[in-house]
Amino acid sequence: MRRTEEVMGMPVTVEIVDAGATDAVLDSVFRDFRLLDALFSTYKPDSVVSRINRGEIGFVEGGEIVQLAASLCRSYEHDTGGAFSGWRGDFFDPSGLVKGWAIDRACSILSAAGCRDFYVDGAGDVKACGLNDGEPWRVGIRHPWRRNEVVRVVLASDLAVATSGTYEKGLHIVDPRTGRPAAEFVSLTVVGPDILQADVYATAAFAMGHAGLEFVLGRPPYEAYAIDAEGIATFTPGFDGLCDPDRSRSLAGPGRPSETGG
Amino acid sequence: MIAAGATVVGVAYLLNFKVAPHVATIGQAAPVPTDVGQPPGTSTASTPAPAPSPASNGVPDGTYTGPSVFVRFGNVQVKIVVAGGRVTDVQAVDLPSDRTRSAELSQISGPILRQEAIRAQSARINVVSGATYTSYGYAQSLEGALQQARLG
Repeated sequence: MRRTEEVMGMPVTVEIVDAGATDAVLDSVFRDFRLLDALFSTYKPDSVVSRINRGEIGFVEGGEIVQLAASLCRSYEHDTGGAFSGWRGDFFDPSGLVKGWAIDRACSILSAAGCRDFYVDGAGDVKACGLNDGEPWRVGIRHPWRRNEVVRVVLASDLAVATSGTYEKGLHIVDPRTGRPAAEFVSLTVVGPDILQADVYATAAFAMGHAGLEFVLGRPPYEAYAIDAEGIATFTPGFDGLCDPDRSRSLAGPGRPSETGG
Repeated sequence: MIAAGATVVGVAYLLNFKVAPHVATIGQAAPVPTDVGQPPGTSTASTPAPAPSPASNGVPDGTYTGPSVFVRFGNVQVKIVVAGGRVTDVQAVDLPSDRTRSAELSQISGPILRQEAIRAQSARINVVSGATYTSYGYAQSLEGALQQARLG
């Protein structure tokens, strides 16, 4: 059973392949995404975060979920040396946290409902649990310029795959100080057990550039795979072991994957 | 600027969701607050061109620019092009470019990291990880643009 809806302004896909799949379970997953959006959108003027930022209410009145988000943002800000932050000056902006967190909560809802074999895909950030037809889920890392092709296939069972980047060729912002492209990588993928952590690490490491790979290297069991504008990938040594070793394996079997952005 | 060809897929994909019943509520959201990361010199207001041939859904042809949404490393702003009642293109007007921190932190890699030239595969896969949008910020700006066009 598979469903895609637009929530938080992005396509979210949930696929469940075990007997625990019901419409009611999927309903509750998407309801939770909308709940988080109503709390955390910095764009909707009536969201709790917008009201906090206008000074209408404080964090206490904002409720426990918002307080927890603030706490998580502080933790990750510390963990990433400030490369990830939930604040912009005095403004609380947990946008970088909310997507991964929402996917994580979705997985918890599914597990609690008795589902074992599923994935949740929030615009290209994926948490895959259990198995698909007896094998790990096959999560492709999108080729930066050939949208219908991938460069690696992560074999994911209880594993998260999160990608940050521009992923659009031509977006070569030149740093005036160096005359070189400002962005060192066009995309950076982080793989690891927790989707929230993987998502935050991908965001932070992408922003750090090359140092971001060293950052992930220091946080096992997380692994990273970064692609630069020349099509050269630099990756942590454990990444290979998470992927399908057969890189020449061509398309076989039913259907193309769902087209998801990220 | 983003290559148009690469972004059209994303738009077509998004529009597929407009048939979902819950999406109707998105269009009822109030206008975008102007205090959300609005950089100087940009405007959330759009000026749709007069519609030479109004589509059946009444959406005038033209371009609609979403709000500038602040993300961690800068602002994201998206515009859409509407023709014949359909979104025909989406472009990033503004994407984060501040890589000051990365420049500061950039170091020569240790020998432990590995490298390879990427190679396209048409492998069998269940799902794809990739960054088509600059994540939540991009999505929010795009949603604002769709609302202005009353397609959201």
